[in-house]
Amino acid sequence: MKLRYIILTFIGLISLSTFAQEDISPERKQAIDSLAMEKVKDLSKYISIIGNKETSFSEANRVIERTLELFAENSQIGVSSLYRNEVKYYDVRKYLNRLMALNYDKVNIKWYNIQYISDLERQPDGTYVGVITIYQRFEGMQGDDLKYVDTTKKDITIYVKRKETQIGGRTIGFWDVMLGDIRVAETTKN
Amino acid sequence: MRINFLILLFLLSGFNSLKSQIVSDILGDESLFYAETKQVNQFFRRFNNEEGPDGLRYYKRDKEYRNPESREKYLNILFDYKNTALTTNLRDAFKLDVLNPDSNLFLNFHSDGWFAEVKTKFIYKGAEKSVSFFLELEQENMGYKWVITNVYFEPYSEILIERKVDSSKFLHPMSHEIDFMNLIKVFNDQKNIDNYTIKSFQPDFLTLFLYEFKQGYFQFKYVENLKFHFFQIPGWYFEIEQFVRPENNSGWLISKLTKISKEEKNILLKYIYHN
Amino acid sequence: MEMKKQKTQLRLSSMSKLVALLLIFTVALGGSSCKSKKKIAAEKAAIELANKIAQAKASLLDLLREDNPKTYEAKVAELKSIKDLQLRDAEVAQLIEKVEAKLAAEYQEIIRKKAEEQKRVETETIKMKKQAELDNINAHFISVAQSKNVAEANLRIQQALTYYASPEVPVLIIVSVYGDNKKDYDKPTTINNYLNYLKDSKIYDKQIESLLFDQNHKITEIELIKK
Repeated sequence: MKLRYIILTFIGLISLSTFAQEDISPERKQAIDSLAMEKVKDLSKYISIIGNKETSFSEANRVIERTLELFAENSQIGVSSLYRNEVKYYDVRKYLNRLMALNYDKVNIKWYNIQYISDLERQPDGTYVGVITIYQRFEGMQGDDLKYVDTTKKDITIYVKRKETQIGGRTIGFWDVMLGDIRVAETTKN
Repeated sequence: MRINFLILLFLLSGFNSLKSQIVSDILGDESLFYAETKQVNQFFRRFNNEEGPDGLRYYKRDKEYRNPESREKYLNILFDYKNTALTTNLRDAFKLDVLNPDSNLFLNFHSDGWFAEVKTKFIYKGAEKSVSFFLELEQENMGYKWVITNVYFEPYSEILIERKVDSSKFLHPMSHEIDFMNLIKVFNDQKNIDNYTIKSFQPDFLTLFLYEFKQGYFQFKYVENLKFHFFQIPGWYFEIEQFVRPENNSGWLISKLTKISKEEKNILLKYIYHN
Repeated sequence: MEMKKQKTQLRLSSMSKLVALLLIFTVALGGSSCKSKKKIAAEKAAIELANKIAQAKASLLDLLREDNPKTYEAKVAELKSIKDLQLRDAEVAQLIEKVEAKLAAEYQEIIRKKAEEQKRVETETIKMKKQAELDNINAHFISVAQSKNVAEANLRIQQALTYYASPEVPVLIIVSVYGDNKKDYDKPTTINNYLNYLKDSKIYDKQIESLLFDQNHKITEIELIKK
């Protein structure tokens, strides 16, 4: 009888703490959304630097390392074109190295003014996961000529984990936002 | 402001191509991206009217959250308009049920009654083959995950489902007295093996797949195609698929819609699972 | 009470004028003798004294007035000149005491105001200095973000790093503030990484929320918040 009471209390406590954790105000959620969006924009800037011929080899490698820091381990990029069903999978590092090797004089990445941020869902391990959808036009220039152009829809996995660390003797609560797998699908040919 | 206006224009346009041309001239192809139902998440939110025209989610405290009037406008844009089977009458009947203030019908991400069908490509015994997986959300700890509930693989089906029924094939009731020595006839006749199993026998493709996969017969290539089956609206079944096309009516849309009874639901499920 | 005193004073001064007139008449009519001369001198002195006392009292009362426009120093000088007269009059002594107390209070007030002003100037200076410092640190961030090329950015990063105790100094970026001034942060980074981030992203859209320094006045921690 007593044991049962204790167990019930315990379960009650667990569900209470779950609720407390779930209870993130809309304002804080919006802040997480824009933080995630910022990481996506950072990725895009890094890609422009890596794809640019003017970027020295050492700089490009440094930026590749910084780009990889944005991603959770084992993240992949799955690419498909408009006319083929097949999806090609690349490890992020391989994808970036390939981009560097393309050697355009200049890479322009044009952002469309539209982005879609999904809800954040909780995984069994407690990490939150969401997907940000963006549209981009990639232009690879050779001199003044457009060498390659595509418009793609990118669905980018976002992992959000609440973490704490000690800095200067105080506890800092932070959102660890990481990019995960990215699905790149061509939308139009032009 | 401009966006709101364009969205409104779009919502009211009824997908008149002339009007969408105007929209496209103003915004380039961006208006299409606005109109597109970009994620399944957005399909849910639009279906329930849980986000604004700008794609930003409403919270429960917001006045517009699940507002029935704007919800009807959203429901209008969630059908594949190229599918002539989705007649106006059918769509209207569905909307009427969904919007009925007494029944309060909303889609719920975490509830039962919907699942994914993922068509993939594998290399199987040296040849490229399609394998379809059925997945459902399952709760674990405080979170959720997609789990495989079923698999469909045509070669399995050819062998196991399309069985030959031959009433002359059976093990007679006194076989036990002869130490089932007549089994030799059963196993020397590959094609007719099904005739010797219990009536209620149902082949389990998932078990079979896992067995063969672990043997190394399957090598994954890529995901080919994806759709979702919904049974969350009582009395209705619908399917959503992604339409990639340079039109307002694109993204995740209802591709199939049928009124069904409880009995029909089981038949339909069997059909979907290819059982 | 004050009124009554003034009336008494008035009566007193008219009385002494009367006495003086009487004396003049006496001198003119009665001729002079040795004894009367002494008497006259004594009377004259008495009259002068009475005049001085009256004047001193009037001045002292004036000094006690709240709306006296004279400066503190002028008041002190006036009091001193009255005290120097060494008038042996109980009422004057009493008034002197009161004026002294009043001036002492005024002095304290002047001291307090001076200290206050000094403090204000000091805080203002510190604030300006701090702002200048913040502007300077912000300017480093902006200059890295706006560098025209990698070489320039790297140079500016090296310059900026001299303000920090080490390249590993933590950079905390506030993402949102909620509840009772609780803060959500982005993943903490180091100043070296952050400066390189600015070089790559080419945007600095934060402002400094707080800074910590070591004894050499090098930054040991920096907290930024999105504008």
